[in-house]
Amino acid sequence: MSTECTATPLAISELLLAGDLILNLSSEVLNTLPGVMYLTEQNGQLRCSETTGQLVWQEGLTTELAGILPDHEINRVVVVCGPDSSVAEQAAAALSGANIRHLLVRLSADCDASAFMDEEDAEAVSERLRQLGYL
Amino acid sequence: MDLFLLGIDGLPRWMWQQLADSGVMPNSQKLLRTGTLVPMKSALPEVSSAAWASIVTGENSGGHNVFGFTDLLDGSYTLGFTSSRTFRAAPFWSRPDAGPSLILNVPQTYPAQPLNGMLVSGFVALDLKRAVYPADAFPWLNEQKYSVDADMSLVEKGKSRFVRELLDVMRIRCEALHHYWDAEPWQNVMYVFTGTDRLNHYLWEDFEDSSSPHHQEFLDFYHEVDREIGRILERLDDRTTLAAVSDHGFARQLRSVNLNCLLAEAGYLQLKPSDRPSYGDMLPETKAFAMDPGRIYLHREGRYPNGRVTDDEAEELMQELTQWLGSVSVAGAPVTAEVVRGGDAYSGPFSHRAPDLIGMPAENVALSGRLNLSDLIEPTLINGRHTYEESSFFVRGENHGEIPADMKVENVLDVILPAREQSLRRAA
Repeated sequence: MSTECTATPLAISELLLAGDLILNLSSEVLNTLPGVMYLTEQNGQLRCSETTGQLVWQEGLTTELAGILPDHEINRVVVVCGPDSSVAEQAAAALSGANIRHLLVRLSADCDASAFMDEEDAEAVSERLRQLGYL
Repeated sequence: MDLFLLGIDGLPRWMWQQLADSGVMPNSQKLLRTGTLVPMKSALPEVSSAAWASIVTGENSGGHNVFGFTDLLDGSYTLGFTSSRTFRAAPFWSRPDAGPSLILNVPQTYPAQPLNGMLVSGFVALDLKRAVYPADAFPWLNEQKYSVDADMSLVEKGKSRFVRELLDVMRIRCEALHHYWDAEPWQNVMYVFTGTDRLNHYLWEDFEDSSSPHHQEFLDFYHEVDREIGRILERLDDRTTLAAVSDHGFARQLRSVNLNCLLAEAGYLQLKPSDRPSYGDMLPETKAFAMDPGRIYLHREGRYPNGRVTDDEAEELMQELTQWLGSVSVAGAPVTAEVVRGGDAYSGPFSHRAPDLIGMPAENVALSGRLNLSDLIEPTLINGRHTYEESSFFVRGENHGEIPADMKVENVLDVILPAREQSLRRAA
C-alpha cells in the first residue's frame, strides 16, 4: 500500500498521476500537473484544492482526511517531505493505519556538490578516468 | 544464500561463449550449459558507471541519476565526478527486505555507504579506508594489500607488466571474497571482476591478432578469471540463484573522436580562449556541447547560466544536430551509427537531467567529450571500446523470472529477484 521514493521539487511531476492528492509537508513549491490536487487548510478545515499549498502534520489529520476523500476522485495520497523529515514517517504510518493508499516522496536537493566526489579527490579521479579515455 | 550476482566487466556475450567453447574458460563451459546466456543491452551511453547503476537499482539513468562518470552541478558549469552519492535510487542491497549482503568491487559505489552487510567499493575508488563499510574490515584488507584499483599507468611499461598487475589485483580481491564469504550467512553476494574491462581496453588488438606476442597473455588472463569462477561455483548449491552479467560489450577501436572538436568546427560550440578550457568558458553563442562519451546537451536557457537555446528552438536544433551527426565523417569514415534522443531513452524523476541527444559510435570509433580541442582524433594506447549491444546476461536457478526478449541492464533485477521487484512495483 505504501512505498517511498526520492525526487526533486522539479522532477516530482514525473511521479505524479492525475487523481493524486498531495500532502506537502515541505516548504518547497512543487512542479505539478493537471488533475493533481493539494490538501490545504481553510478556516481550520481540510480541503482538496487545485491550487498548491502546504500543511503542517498533526495527529488526527488522517481521520479528517478519510472523511473528505469520498467526496473527491482521489486515487492516492502523495506525502511530500524534506530529506530528513521524521514527521513524514508518522504521516505515512497514520495513512497506512487508516488504510489510505499513499506514496511517500522525500525531496532531494538537485545535483549540487554533495552528490559528487569530494573536491580534493577530483585530480585523482581525473587521472583514473583519463587512463580509460573518458577525460 | 538467495543470490550470487557475478559481474564480469566488459565481457561480451559472444566472446564468453567463444572462450568457453574453445576451452580457454572450461568452468564457464560447464556453467553455461546449466542456465541461459543471452545478449543484453547496456546503458545509454554505454558507460560503466551508468550501466552498473542500472544493474543494481533496476532503473535506467532517468531513475538512478547516473548518466556518466562526469556531470555538471545543476544550474552551473562546475564539473563533478559522479559517486555513490549521485544515486537517487536504492541498490538492491539497501532495500528494506534485502537481508545481509556482501558487495565487493561494484563500480560506482565509492565512497562506501552503510548497508546491512559489508561493501568494498569498485572503480572509481581512491582511498581504501573510505571504500570499506563497516570500517572494522579495513585493517585486514589493508594487510592483504587489497587494491581498490589496478595501476593502469603500468601499461606504459609494457603489456606483460600490465597484465601481471591485473592478475595480482584480481587474486587479492578473490581472496577477500572467499574470506568474507566464510564470515557470515549472507543472503546476497555480488562480486565484480573489473580487470577484464582494463584488459579489453588495452589488449583488444592482441586478442584479435592471434600472431601478436600478447595474444596468449590475453587468453591466459581469461583462463585465470575462469579459474576463479570455478572456485565460486564449487561453493554454490542449487538453491542459490546465480546470475552473471557484464555492463557492456566490446569491439575494436581504431580512433577516438572528440565530439566537442566537431561541434566547435561546425560552430555549435564556442569557447573563450584558454589554456585549460572548462565548461565555464562556453560563450553564450554555444548551441550544444558534449560530455563523455557521446552525451550531447543543448545549451538551454534556464538550465545553464549563459544558455540561450529556448524550448521553442530546441526541437529544430535537435533535428539539425541529429542530421549533422549522421552525416559527419572523420578520416573518411562515419562518426556515429545512430543518434538517440534523451527523451526517448530515459524515464523516471531525473530524466530532466539527461542529455538531449546520445551519439552512438560508428564501427571502430570511440566518442569522447573532452573540452580540450587540440586533437580531433585523440592519441591513446586504448584499442578496445565499449559497445551498447552484446553485454552478457546469464542466469540459472529455479526462482528467477522471465528474461525479456529485449534484455537491458535495467531489467536484471526483474529477472533475478522477481518476487522483490514485483512487490516493489505493486507498492508503487
